[in-house]
Amino acid sequence: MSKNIVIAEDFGVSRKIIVSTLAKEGYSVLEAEDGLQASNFFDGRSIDLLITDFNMPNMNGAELIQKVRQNSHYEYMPILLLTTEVREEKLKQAMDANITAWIKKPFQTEAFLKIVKKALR
Amino acid sequence: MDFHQEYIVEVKQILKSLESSLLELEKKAHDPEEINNVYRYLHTIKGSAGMFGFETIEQLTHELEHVFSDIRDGDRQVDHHIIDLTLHAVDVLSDLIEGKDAKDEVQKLLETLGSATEEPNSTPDAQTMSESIEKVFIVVFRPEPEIFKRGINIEAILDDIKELGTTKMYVHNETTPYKKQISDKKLESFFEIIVQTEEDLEEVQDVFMFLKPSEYIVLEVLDLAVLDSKEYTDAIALNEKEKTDRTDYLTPLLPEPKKEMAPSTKKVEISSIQDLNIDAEKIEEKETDTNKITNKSKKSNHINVSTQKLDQLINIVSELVIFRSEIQHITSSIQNPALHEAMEKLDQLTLRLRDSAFHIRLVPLNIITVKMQRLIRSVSRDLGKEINFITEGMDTELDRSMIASLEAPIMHMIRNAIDHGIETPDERKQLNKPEKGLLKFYSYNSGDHVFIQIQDDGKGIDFDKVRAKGIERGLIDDKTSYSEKELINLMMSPGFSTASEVTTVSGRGVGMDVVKRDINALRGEVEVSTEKGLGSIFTLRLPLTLTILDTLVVQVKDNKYLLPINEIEYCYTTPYNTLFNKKSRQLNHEGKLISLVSLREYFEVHEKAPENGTVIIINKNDTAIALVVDKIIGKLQTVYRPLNEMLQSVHCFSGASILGDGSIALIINALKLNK
Repeated sequence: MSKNIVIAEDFGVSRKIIVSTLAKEGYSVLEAEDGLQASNFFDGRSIDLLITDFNMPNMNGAELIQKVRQNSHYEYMPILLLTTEVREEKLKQAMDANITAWIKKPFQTEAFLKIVKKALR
Repeated sequence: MDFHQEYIVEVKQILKSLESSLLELEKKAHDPEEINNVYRYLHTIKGSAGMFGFETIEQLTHELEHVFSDIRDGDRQVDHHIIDLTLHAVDVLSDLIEGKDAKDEVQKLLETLGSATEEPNSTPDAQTMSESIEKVFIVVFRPEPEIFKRGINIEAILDDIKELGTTKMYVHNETTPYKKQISDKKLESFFEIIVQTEEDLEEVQDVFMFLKPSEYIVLEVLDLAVLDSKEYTDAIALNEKEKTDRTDYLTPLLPEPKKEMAPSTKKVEISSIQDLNIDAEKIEEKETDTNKITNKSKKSNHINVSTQKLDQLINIVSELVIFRSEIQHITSSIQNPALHEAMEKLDQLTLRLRDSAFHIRLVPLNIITVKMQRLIRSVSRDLGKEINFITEGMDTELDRSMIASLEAPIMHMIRNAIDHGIETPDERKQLNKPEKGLLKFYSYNSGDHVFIQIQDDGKGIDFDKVRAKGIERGLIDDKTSYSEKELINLMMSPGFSTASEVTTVSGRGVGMDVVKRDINALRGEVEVSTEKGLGSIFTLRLPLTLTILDTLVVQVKDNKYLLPINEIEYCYTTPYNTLFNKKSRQLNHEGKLISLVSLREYFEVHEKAPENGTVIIINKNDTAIALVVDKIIGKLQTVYRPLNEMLQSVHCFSGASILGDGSIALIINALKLNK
């Protein structure tokens, strides 16, 4: 059964690239333009991975993660945070915010897929 | 242009550079700079291919990069096989980038490359030595209790470690079975794992990609001292029994102690930092390498402009040139010195602008050097001939579109020269010639023309053979004697081929007639001079640009026509009736009878002709014709415009141009008037 991935990213081009990269690998991908849209996907259905941007309108990445984690269905689901943040401090905070890993933007497809595959194990 | 297309353009350029580096490398197999260049180009292509979804390109360049990194490191030698393979790969890559399907080719290449990388030519011992030795690592993995909340799958991590090689895992604090702890999402235990693996430290660390640095430690075990190292004892406190246990387990895994003065343990934190530093250096190196490439292009100060934009500029300038003539036409009747002075300045500036604009389109001929080299390489190998290829004047500039249309004829002539001209090494030896045949490509500018010469020191053209073949083909009769010039013309007429057998090399259904046709289409000419036993010279004479044309404006009744000035040999005025008083439409010009065509008659102007007509003798490619027009208006530099498809069947016109007064004039293709 193909894995279900939610991608929340407000920047269209980035989102499309990610979606097409993942779709090529055979994952089924749900797209959301912001945190709020993304949070609606987490209605109890089976989702294997959330990939989310940090800065987004309506509901940012941190708020989205917090909301998703509150639902017991997704308590232990892997979450990858996309960020342009390079400051150590911020990254540490992100690591503590119940995420699996952060991915620094811009990223190479190869490295990105490696992380996704690992997170989905 | 979107970024995808930009990428394609860029890769194409890199492929070209790669191709020429490979050819250089073939000459100087050990040139470290060229090896490095090749490696860099491959690396650059590979680096970006994945981003743009060219997985096959990525795969192929990855394999090639592997081969060339071996070469760079001295583990492998450059040989013809590798160059062949890589050149072929360049072709496949350019197919791939253009979106052509080349899966089969890629598969073949990958297989060949795969076997090539498996059996490198040199020192297999050194290879196996460095690769098959297993390293031993100790891993202490102490996840924070809330790890599950981060969506991390501990079991998957433990599985990954086991997959690395032979492992021995100790679970500490195992009050309840650790698997149950994991399924209950309540972890109290932590793990200590000894790993024997062929993988590097980085690979082992990769397993813990999602973990915080405080949650794991990976130590490479070089000897038993690792068990007393601070890193290890900080991470885990072992009792004596456990320690003996580790010692017993590790001892047989370790290699014989080395006599080196190197530190007995590798501090992982430090070593990983060192590794990182090394990596960073490497990356920096790579970055400066790529910078080198970009710097190179920066140094030559080239920018890429789309031909569309250029054409637009040329069109505007062309119109400006026409407009300039128009103003000149209007102002010529006005008596105002200041105006004329200003006009003159405008004139000069327009001409300079036009010249600069046209020069933008000119590119040096050397863009086809690589193509020629590859052709020579493959043809000479196919035919077992050795060629010393010399180029001169490759910086001669020509219109970009012209070079594109010149490529095929030039390639054909080179192929011919090698196939029919240059002899095999044995034959050459007997003839006291150097074994390597000389093939010279020579180009230079002269006036408005560019000359390209292809010389060979082969056997020259065998005119007896040409004559015999011509007779056999029924192109000439066996009674008349023909001059060499006529026989050369014969050679370049359709359906003629001197090769008694059609070889794969030159027997491609095209002969010199196609070359001649192609060159003539560019308003150029082909000349051949040859000396039996010594070689041949093929000379192409080409206009600098196709867009600007010097013409003579002539008038027939109320219409104006243009004649390219370079075709005109002679003009004179003479009474009309003396020309057409005989039955035959012929004229004696310098002792030769040539056809005489009255444009009035040709265009069926039935009015009475003026008393005096002007005869214009046209001589193009040694074929002469005399035209009779009403009068000559003057000389005009015009912008050539091709006729549209509907008019192309009207052979007596080769194009059109706009005159100073805005009217359109057709350019006459005089030789076609005869029919």
